Amino acid sequence: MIDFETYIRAHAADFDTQEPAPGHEERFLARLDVTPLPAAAPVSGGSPRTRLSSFFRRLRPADLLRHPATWACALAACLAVLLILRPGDPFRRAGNDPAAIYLAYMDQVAEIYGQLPPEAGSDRDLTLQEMTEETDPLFTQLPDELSPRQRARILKEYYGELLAGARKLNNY
Amino acid sequence: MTRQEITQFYGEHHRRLYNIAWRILRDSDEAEEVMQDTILKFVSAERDFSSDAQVSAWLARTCIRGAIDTLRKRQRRDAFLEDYALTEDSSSEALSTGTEDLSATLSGESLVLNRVKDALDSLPDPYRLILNLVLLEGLDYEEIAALTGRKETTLRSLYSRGRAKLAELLKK
Repeated sequence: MIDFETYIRAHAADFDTQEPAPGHEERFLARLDVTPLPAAAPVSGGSPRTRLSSFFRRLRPADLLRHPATWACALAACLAVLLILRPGDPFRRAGNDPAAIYLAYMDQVAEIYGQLPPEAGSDRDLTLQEMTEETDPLFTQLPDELSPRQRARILKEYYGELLAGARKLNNY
Repeated sequence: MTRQEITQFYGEHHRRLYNIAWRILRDSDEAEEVMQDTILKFVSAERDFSSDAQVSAWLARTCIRGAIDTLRKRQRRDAFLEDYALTEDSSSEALSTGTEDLSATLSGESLVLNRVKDALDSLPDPYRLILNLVLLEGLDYEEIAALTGRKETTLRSLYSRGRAKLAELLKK
């Protein structure tokens, strides 16, 4: 019997069988022509950074704090941050990408394992494993006719339920 | 580095870097771009390495990071499941014998290699990525966590599931 892990490690170099499309060298040289190399790197004079810092030096924080627009901007920024970050939503960064949703789910599962009380027995560990592990992950099984948004919704609901159950188990 | 030295450097490293990127992205154009970006990044800055091994390691990690970034940016959620469904069908046909008799039924080394490659390629993105990085690129979980921004426990779990999936594919 071949141990495929050992086999792959031992033959790693043999897996490099792909070749870039013809003309790749010419395309590389064309890109090289427009890439600044160390010897040619110019030393810039008055950089935008200098100009920006002199602009900020003229601003006085006390004046800014007195202006109502500053507070309005701060409030709007807080609201925007809340809307964008959606604290508490484990899938907020995953968008509609099934693989990203699955990875976010796996991250949460790892976190729940980390929160298992030290006194919890192996039964709890096993139950958690059975609750959260799938033989064939759902994200690889959804039918093609569903739109990306529909798939994402199903996955988020399904994995969300599993996570809620796993968290409840941890809290008992 | 002179233009001639850069061309020589490109000749020495492009194939390996292209394959690293291709295994992660499975797209020729994107893999070529990541490979060339990596080499341009290397030649466009003064870098001080004491050995060829250090250069190779830097190139490989930069290339992996670039490929992972590209993978994240790519809006391929629609294609993902279709792609997977198609490759799964074709790989199931190709992998008609089990792991146990892998060496007995296939006469040539290249057949075994092709079978393992096909099976690896047909895995869903998260599994394929982790198996490639661990088995082919020889990275440890800590390095992969730094490159992908994932927790080590998640990566271990993904690896173990990916490994099981690969074994299942090779048994078919």
